[in-house]
Amino acid sequence: MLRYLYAKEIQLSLRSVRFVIALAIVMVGFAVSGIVGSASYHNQLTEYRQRQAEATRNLMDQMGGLNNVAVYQQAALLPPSKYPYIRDLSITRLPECVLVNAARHQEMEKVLRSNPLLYATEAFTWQFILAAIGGFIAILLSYDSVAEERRQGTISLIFSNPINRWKLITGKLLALITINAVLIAAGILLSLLILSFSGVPVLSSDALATTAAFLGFAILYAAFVTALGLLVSTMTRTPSLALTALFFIWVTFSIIFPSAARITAGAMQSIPTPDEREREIDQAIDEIMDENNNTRPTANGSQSVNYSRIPFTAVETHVANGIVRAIEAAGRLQQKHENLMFDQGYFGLDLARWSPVELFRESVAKLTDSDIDRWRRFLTEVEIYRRELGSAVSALDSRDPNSPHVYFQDHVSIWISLRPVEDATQIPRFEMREPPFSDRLAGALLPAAWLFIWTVIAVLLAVIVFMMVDLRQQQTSS
Amino acid sequence: MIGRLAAHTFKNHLLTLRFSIGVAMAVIMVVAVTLVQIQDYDARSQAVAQYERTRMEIRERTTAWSMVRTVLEIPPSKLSFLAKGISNASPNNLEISAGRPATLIEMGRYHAANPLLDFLPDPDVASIVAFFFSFLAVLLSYDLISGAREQGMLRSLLAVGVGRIQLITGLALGGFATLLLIVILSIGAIAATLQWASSIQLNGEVLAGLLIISLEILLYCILFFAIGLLCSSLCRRSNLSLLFALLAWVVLVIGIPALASQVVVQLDPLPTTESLEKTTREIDAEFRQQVNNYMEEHSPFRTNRNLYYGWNTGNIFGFGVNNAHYVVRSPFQEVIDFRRGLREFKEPLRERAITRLEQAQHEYENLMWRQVETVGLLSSISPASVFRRLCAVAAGNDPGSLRRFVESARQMRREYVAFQRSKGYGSLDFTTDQHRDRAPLDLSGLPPQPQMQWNAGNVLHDSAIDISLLIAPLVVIFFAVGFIFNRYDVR
Repeated sequence: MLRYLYAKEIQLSLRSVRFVIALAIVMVGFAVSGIVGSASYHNQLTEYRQRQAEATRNLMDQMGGLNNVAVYQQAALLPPSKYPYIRDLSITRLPECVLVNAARHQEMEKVLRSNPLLYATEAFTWQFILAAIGGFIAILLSYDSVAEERRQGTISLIFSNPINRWKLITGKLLALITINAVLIAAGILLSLLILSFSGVPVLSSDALATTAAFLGFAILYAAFVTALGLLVSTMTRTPSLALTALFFIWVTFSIIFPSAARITAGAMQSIPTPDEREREIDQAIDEIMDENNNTRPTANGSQSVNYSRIPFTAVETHVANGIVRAIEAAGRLQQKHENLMFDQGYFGLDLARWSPVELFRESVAKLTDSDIDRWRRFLTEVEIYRRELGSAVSALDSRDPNSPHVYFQDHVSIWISLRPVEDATQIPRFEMREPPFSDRLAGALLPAAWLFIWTVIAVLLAVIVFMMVDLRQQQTSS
Repeated sequence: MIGRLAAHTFKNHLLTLRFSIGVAMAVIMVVAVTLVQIQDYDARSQAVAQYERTRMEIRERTTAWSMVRTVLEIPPSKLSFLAKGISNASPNNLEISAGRPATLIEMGRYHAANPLLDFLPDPDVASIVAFFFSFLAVLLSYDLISGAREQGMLRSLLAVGVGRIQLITGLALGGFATLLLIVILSIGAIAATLQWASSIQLNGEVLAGLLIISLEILLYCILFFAIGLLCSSLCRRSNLSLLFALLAWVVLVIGIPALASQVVVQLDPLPTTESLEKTTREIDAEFRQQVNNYMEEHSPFRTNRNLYYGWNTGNIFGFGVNNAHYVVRSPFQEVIDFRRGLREFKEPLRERAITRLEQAQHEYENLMWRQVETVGLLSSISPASVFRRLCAVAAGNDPGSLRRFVESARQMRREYVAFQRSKGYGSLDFTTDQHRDRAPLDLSGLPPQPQMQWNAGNVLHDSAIDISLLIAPLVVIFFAVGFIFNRYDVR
């Protein structure tokens, strides 16, 4: 009987006009996302390579710009996401470059990533299509599933046969989930074709596994919305009321919840402003430098400081050590501020998890490694790299009997070696490690599990309510 | 009769659950968003004030100047709570000097305290209205015709001699009154919040901005009301009209804005700044080469190595980060004469280099501007995009306002150059040791810095096309509704 009901629901849905509308919207949406995603992939990759080349050139300029002095200040670049067609953060203001030197890493550099004159919008990706338009389509297919039958009285006819209520609602649910899954899979297939033809490596094992996992999360999300649609459809007496209520809920989950999460995170977990952060760091540097000046040795020779002279005098060594301490203190403060920023960001995202739509977004973000953790890992790896760079500079400099040396120019604080380095390959370069698919999937499973719990609750409620509610045709009051 | 019908529709709307819930949510949301954005405005204003104070302190400490160099802060708009527009992504200061033209390409500091919060949307009143009020407007109108037909009201009304045009006009006017009430309640709540819980005074500028935005909100809501009415007149069943109305809402409010922007940004991308940087390097290298050649030829150090004087031709575009440059005087006449000659040689070269750089930057900015215009053109199909642009213009956070400010900064640089020249200094001096007898640059009489001025005339001028983009479809839709309703089968 369940199979019969399932087949009947599928047939009914396939014949409806709304299925055709949904199919058209999904196919157009995914086709456009394929075209846009492909362009985004190539643009980001080109820009990344250009910036890498620029960083190498800058390094060579530094090495050649000062007589027999090699300066080590490297740009650590965040590589572009491999899946901008699934989720794209290139249009955000999030930084993708950090200037690193051996003493500390500089604050995240702000570079012109996108046109600052453009109004912010969401990227037209698979995630956007599913979260925004896909949610609407799932509502569209399910909102009158029960309410319309109830309005027309056909549900009473169905129950005149020996049919279990739970079988009927389960049949409807499974049929609608299947249709949603077919629509999503068809859209993804079309998008993959376009991406593949335009040279995006979508057929690699990693990309295919990511796509398959995305499809799974998308079907889970569609199942949640469908179950919600059936629940509301069962609880309301007219399809219009069901649609209105569903839309209210959907707008609340997709727009109001995340906005409220941001507002609450900003209000409840305040962090110092950029100005206050800057002042705190400046103050720490001044205190150490003042203290260092007060304890400056006076014996044996000149008080003047000249770091390009070999060997350093006692005064120069003292001042240089003070500079290093000041820079390191500034680095520690900077890390403290970054931690506060991350705490606030995580707090906001935790609050947003009350929305199933956000859970879907988060699972996709983790799957494609384009969430807040990517920036956290980026800065952690930059810190590790900074130490490597420092060790490399020390090793190079240790060949000089008068090492270590330090150089301080304007506001740029850099460890240097006075020993010239002819070969740029002697200086370690920053390479961010991309997490393997298994790690990304493991990260995505937690929000997906929460979404699954939401879905189970919605399904159970839909079944329970369907079994308890009076489903007779509404009597029209005069 | 029209009045009675309108009053009846208005009363009916007030009694519906969707109106009560919708208005309550709308008011709560706009008040919450206003409170949050006011805090953000306060933080930004304090930061700008702090930077200004620091700069003034440096200026007071500095006793001798050889050049004028400044950082222009772009203060936040008082009306940012209504629409933040591009203010989150655009630079918040411009650094200019005689040798450094004002440009949008080099970004200033972040406005926002934490860019990591960008994973979540940053709502302002405009975004709440764009999403939620339009949804509410559609909900109020989708069943005005189809729902009335289902209940048999249309037949009854037409049977008692009410004309079809009278009927549709009455329904529409009743809907407008409801929307007007929603707008008044929301703007009233915002004004009350400003009055009692913020540092922003309800002065002429704020009131004028509120008034302009209120009218734009009303116009925007009426347009979505009309779209709902059109769907209602096209369908015989209310659930079908709701379906089409919501479909239109999703496409117009969510789909097209993202699509228009992404299609342009990705398919016609802004080139990286690499070419511009390359041009800058070339200009600089050419300049340095010419200067080096001159020095090779005329340097007194070639013949007298005992002269001690260190100089650096430097990168003409990179002056470091200090605001003050002290006058340095050399004790050697030979060096002074040489530097005077060098200065006279460098002056026209620098002028030419700066002009070339300015042109290159201007060309790149034109590309940025072209992208903005193309996105604007494509997204004009969406009333939500048009509305958000209008709000950004009214709040002064739109690309046009920023561009005007940059233009005024460029003009200021020219005035500063003229000022330096009037004082007998070269247009691009950064050391004046060759002028042994000249007094340090007197900064009194320095032209004032440009301010980001909010001007109702500018707002209306910049909004004219966008307002017509909302009015034109509104008129067409109402004519279409009238035409369709005239043939509507009311049975």
